Amino acid sequence: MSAARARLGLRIALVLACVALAPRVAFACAVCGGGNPANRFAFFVSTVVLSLLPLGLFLGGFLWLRSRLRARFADEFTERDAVPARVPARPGPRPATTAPATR
Amino acid sequence: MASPDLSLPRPLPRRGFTDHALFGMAVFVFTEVMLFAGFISAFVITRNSVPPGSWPPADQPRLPFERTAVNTLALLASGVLVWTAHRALARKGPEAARMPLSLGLALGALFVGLQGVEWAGLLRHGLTLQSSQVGSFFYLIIGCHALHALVALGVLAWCWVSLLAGRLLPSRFGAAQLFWYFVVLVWPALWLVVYR
Repeated sequence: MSAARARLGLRIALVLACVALAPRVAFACAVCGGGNPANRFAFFVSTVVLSLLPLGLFLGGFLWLRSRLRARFADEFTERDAVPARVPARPGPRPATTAPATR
Repeated sequence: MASPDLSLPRPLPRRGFTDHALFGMAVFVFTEVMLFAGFISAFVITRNSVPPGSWPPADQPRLPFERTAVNTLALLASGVLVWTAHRALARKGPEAARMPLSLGLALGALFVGLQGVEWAGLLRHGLTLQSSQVGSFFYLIIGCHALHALVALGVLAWCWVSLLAGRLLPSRFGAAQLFWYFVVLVWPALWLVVYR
């Protein structure tokens, strides 16, 4: 029991150490992190837009292709489904079942 | 010995989901959207990195935002007219599409011409590719758009000639339209971001 507690305490201490010692955001780029808040905000907005724009384009392209495929293949099984249904067999006496062959 | 019957069932016809020209143009426009998004991103970040009030620099001319509104209106009207030509072609035939396509083409040419006049004025006032960051970004972004406008105008002119000759392919016109709509729709964003 005490060993389990010790392991748990060790894990918690490790997590706290990682959080405490995590490096601050390093503005390595002189333009992107020049200390100007407007500049930093523009960089953030640009990052968001440039990340979401291709995803939005892919989504739009996918929806467009799906609508085109649905429209084009809407009558794919028309020919098959157009085969007239078979006339149902008139109900009659059941055929006598054959007895299973004896071994 | 009789040969077996080797007749195969009738193959199913191939069905494409869209025109190849249209799909190829859509992929191309996708890449172009990302190109201009990158341009705008770089421009906005650079513009916000300079001290307030120093964009454009004192010795550089201001970009004519108000005067370029005329160009913008001409280009937007051109896009609407090309769309009208498409509708007329689909509903009433080639005869009905001639007039709106001709007008759309003329307005597109007017846009390119007015842009050329504006560039000549800016060059006279000292805004060049190397004069400042403003000039570099302006000629890079707006020049790239002008190049696209010229090419799209050429493709539209080709469609117009084909229409007059009575051999306009719908797939070709569709791809040309898509390219022109891209040129038309990306312009207001450039105008509002770069000129203002």
